[in-house]
Amino acid sequence: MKKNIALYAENLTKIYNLEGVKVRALDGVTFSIPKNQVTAIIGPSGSGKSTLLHLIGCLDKPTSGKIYIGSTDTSKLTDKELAKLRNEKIGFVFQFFNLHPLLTAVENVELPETIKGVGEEQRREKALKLLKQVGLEERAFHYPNQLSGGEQQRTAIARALINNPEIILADEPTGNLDTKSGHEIMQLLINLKKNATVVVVTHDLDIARHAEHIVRLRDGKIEYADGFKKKLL
Amino acid sequence: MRFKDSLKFALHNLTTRGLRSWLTIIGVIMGVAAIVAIVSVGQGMQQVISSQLGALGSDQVYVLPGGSISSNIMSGLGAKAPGELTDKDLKVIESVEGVIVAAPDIIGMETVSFMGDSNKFYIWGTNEQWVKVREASVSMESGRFLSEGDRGVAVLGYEAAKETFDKEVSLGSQIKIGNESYKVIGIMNSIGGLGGAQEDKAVFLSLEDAEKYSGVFGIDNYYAIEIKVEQERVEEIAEKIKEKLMNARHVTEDKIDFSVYTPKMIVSVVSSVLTTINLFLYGIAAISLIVGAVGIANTMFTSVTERTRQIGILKALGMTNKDVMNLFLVESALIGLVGGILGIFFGFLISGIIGQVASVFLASSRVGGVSMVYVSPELILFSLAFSVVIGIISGIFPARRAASLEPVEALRYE
Repeated sequence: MKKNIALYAENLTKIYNLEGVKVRALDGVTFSIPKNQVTAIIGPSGSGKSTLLHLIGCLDKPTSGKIYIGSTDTSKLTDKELAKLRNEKIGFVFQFFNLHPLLTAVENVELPETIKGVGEEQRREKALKLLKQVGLEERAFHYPNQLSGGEQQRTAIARALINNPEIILADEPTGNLDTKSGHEIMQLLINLKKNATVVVVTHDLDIARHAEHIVRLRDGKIEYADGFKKKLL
Repeated sequence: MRFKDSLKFALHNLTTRGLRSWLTIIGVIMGVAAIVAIVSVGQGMQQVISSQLGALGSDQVYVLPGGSISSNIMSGLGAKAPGELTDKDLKVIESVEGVIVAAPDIIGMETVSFMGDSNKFYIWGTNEQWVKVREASVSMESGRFLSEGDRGVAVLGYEAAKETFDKEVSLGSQIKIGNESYKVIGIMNSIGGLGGAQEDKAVFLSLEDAEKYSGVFGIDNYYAIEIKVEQERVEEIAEKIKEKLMNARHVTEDKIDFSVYTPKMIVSVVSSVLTTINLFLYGIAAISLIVGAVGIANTMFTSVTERTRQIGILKALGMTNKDVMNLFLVESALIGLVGGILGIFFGFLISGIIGQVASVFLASSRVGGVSMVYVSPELILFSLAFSVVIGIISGIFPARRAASLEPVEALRYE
């Protein structure tokens, strides 16, 4: 695999069995994601965007095909190794933030480090630093239900960054935010590309304009990948 | 994930669902408290009975008419058992090497009157040897015990003399048994015991006098023969007594018409009865603990369902199946631990109340210096360990279900 490729998917197929009916969510998808760039996965609703994100984030397993993260063939990893990979190499940002409701903002940011087994003092220092970076140092000890949508998403971004991941996967990160907050969040994500590869799933073409690389899906298949950005948008 | 963090998570989750957690914990408390209370009373009873049987004298042997426990029970109820014990048998027993002294007993029941007040009493006929057999437990509060040739005189147990009649009976008092008068020549000290000893409530007469009130029992048909033997060879001497009596009575083992008991045998019979009762009670207590365990499992299953999305988040962030499982097991173990600690406390309290109630009914919650309830350190440790184990076992299935959730499925859960 080329050195400037962060992730490579080869002939990915995902078939769901919904009460006896087989639904082909992805059908032979092959593409690569360049390192330290923002890639947008776009497509209409039901095109397989979220399924693809779950597969490349190792949250789900493909029916067939392979995913390489760096040089690691994820199909050969055990559940435990996949968990370690998610913990150390991937940072997730979800549409509905997915913060733990019983933990404060700083505890949520610490969570990947807590799972990793890092000591309290060390992880707290790191988490507070990240909250400061996303402008939430004042809100560190507030619970998710005390934060606005934008603040929750910024907390989620800080959480995604705490383990210095190679890839940040964002699933409709602005989908639940107002325009202003959405723009701020996108700016934050774009700024992350200095240290990580950013993959954003969105159906919003305005958001996709921020990306340098596009993967467009339709009916579970790749319509465009790379190089067609201007034409596409 | 470090254990400390799992513990913190578990505590967080339990305190967040405070009411439900407490209701679950109450289920465990009830089970553990039932076990602690029942076992402590059971152990206390065992100790009391052991000490009581010990007070009988470890150097005593008893011969009763009838060849089986059931016939001994019948004879205890005043029925005639097959085979009679007579003075001839007493002589045979006295001739056995190792026998120190032997005394016959005949027992009946009769109304005794004193200064216009009447009560039913055990009438216990024996001879002067009886106090020698019972040397270890019997002593005189005042006066003397029966002597050879005594007629028309009575010795009273402590309770019979001091606590039954409106006025205390004292030395020299005249009591009436049936229609005959007897002069009180001695009052014994209290023997005590579970529910008070039979001897404390008895009136002791000579065999000849007691025969009038003892129904089927008499000089030619003793209720029992009590024997004091050399302490080091009780079992061996008991066996010799049995052999000699069989020869003298011309009976074989399969047609034996008398029984020989040693304290060891009595302890073993009583212990087996107590063990059966205790096992029954433990069974009931165990059922209540199982109900508690089902409560934990139910709470944990509900918790897994409610927290499916949280589990998805944790898994997405890199938590392994093992860590997820540990998280739930720590939580269910904590429920067990808290329930166990409080259950022991309440069990202790309940057994204390039982002790108090017993003290009202039995005049003392301590019988012969032994408490009727006994909470051993082993019981506390066992209950604590048991409740934690029950907590963990109850949590295994819910925890496994949580651990087996696919991250993506868990994240999609609404």
